[in-house]
Amino acid sequence: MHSRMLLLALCVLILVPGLVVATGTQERAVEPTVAPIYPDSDDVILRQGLPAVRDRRVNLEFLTIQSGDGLRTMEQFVTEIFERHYPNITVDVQGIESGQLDDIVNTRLAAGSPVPVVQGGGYADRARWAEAGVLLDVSDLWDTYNLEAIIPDGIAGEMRVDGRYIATPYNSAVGSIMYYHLNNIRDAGVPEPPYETWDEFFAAAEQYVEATGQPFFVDGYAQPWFGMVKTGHFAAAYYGTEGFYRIANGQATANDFRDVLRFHRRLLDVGNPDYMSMDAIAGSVEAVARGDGAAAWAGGWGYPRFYNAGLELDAEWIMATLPRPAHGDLDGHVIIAASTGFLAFRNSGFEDEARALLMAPVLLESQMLIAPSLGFTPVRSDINVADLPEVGRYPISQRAVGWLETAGAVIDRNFNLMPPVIRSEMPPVFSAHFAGELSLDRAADELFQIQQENQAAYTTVWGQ
Amino acid sequence: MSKKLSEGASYAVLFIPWFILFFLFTFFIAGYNVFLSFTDWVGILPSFNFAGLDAWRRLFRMRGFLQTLGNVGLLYLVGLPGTVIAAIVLAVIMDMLRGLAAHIVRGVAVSTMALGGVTVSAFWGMMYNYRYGGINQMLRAIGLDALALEWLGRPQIVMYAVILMLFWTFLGYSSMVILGGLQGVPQTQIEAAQIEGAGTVRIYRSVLLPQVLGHVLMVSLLLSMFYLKAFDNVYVLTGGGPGWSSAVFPILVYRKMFGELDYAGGAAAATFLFVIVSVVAIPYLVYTRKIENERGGVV
Repeated sequence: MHSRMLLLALCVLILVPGLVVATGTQERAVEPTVAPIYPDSDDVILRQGLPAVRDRRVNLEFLTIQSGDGLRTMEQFVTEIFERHYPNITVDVQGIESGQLDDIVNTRLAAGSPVPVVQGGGYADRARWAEAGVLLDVSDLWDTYNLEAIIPDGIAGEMRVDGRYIATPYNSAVGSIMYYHLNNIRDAGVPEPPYETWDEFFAAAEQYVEATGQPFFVDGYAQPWFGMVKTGHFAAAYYGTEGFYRIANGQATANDFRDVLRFHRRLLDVGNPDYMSMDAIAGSVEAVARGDGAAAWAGGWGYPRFYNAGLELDAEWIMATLPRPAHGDLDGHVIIAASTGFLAFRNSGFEDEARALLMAPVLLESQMLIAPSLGFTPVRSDINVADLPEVGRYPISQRAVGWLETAGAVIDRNFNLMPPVIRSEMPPVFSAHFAGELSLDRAADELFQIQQENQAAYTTVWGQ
Repeated sequence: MSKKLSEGASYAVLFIPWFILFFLFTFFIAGYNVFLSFTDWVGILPSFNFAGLDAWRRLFRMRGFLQTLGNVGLLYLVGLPGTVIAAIVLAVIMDMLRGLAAHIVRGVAVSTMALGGVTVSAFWGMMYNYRYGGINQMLRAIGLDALALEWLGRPQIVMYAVILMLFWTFLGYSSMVILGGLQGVPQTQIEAAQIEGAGTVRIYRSVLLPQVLGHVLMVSLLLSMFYLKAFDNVYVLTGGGPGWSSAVFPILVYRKMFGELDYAGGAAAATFLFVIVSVVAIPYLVYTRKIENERGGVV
């Protein structure tokens, strides 16, 4: 009897705190609304009819780099839209970390068991797979449905390699948003954002650090590949796009690398001491949303962090473009934007079903769900951004379109353009410099040397 | 004679299938890996050409190669002896304890091995967190703010943080192996030493510990192999970073293969790792075989 009571007490002691912790730490669920603003008859794709598939029940494996709210949106898109049109297909959605997409896809290819469909990856990845001949050519789908008439060329171009279409777009995201915690900035008595120029930004940052003893700009380098993306983009934003494209095309000088490092070092001087171990993708935004800092750079994924912190947009926090370049002759801001798409691999055994899934994200109803869910801009030009459901919490779509229209230049995520060997060899040099192990000159020289040793790997010319 | 043949045939029937599988999954795959290291395979498509020593040259010229060698050296100079010495001390303590205390300590000791590598690394990752980790919180609470460092972000100290995690992971198992040796020493020898007037310390130093030398050597060998092939722990904790500061050989293989899409280079790195493991393991096997022959029994 006593041992049974003891066992029961142990179970309660373990389960109850576990339940409390589990329920207490759940994020607020996102429920984007699919508003029937555009009926099916408005959709040129549905009017023609979706691609036919074989009459068989299929479990279709699908990898996506979406996580958190984005993954929930992807699952909602799959179950409410795609599987409604194709009841014989069940899509097995698996969310993976974006940095692992290459590894998983390539090992499956090497093993002769390709993943049928993936969402994610940069243009360089798509180009490499296309050159290896492992991607399904879906140019016929683009022709059949005349997708070029409804998808802007800036997005369509990212789905093309050597004139052939090898993907369909899922989202188009602005990745250069500076999030500012207004409460902290006002309390410190420094000029309020948005800052038009980097000089204004650094003036405010230095005042803030002096007044509070706390970091102004919070950033992270725990994921070096992502940190390198930001390094390049900040440098592009500061020095203009010429240097950026020299680096992307393997034609940079040691001075270009020196400029990149010097600029990022300036940001670190007004930044957080745990820069090297801070989560690069979401950790910095979370920290600022919590009040541990004043500014963080992120893409649309930063919005939910502030929303979940209970702060009021435009009153207690704001989002803005990066300050204008201090050099070069650009008139407007530099915007970093990128589109990801759905890709299908050959010889998966599910090519028909994969082609059907590739058409699903470009449906009107899909974009009306996907775009506002995390602040993406719609990939279809026949969607009026003002018609997007006001998920109220995510007004990024409307703002992002406005920024794109006034941008001085729009560039893709730099790191995704780099050859694999560069993406492997360069980040450790950046890490060593930011950690104080390598001097500015030595790091710049080493980056230049890596570039020169691997000239053969730069097979595409960007920015033309 | 026919009975012997029939017995031999029975053993062969039982042994051969296992041997075939063992050969395929160890020697053949290892050999194939060595072969791949002399090709130009990039992994996307299963086709390649012979490329001589190209992959090996790329490996040895790789920026992170020397750093990785240095990290492994640190593991062997600091981590391995530290773990073995601590395991001996813990085994002696567990041997001395009796009753409930003994059970509790032994249970805690083996529980570290029961947790998977990812779980352990996630736990230590939280402990090492600069802002909210338990280690820095504790240091700040007792006024040692200057020691609240960025454990996983500083190249100069991150490898020591990894070593501490691996030490914690393998200490329990190592101590249990040595404890088994201690408790296997015949009671009569201990009683004889007591009769001669030896105290506890002298008994341990002169009677018990010399007889567990074989167990200590075995633990050292096992730890050296665990440390050499520790991938999941290190990958989850630091990814081998910052840069190459905490990279070990399996991470070098992983980055070569899947980061750079240089499968041939990764195969070269894996072959190099195999050579290092052999350099460590073969002398031990030769030594134990020699002792067995001398003593006519188990070491």
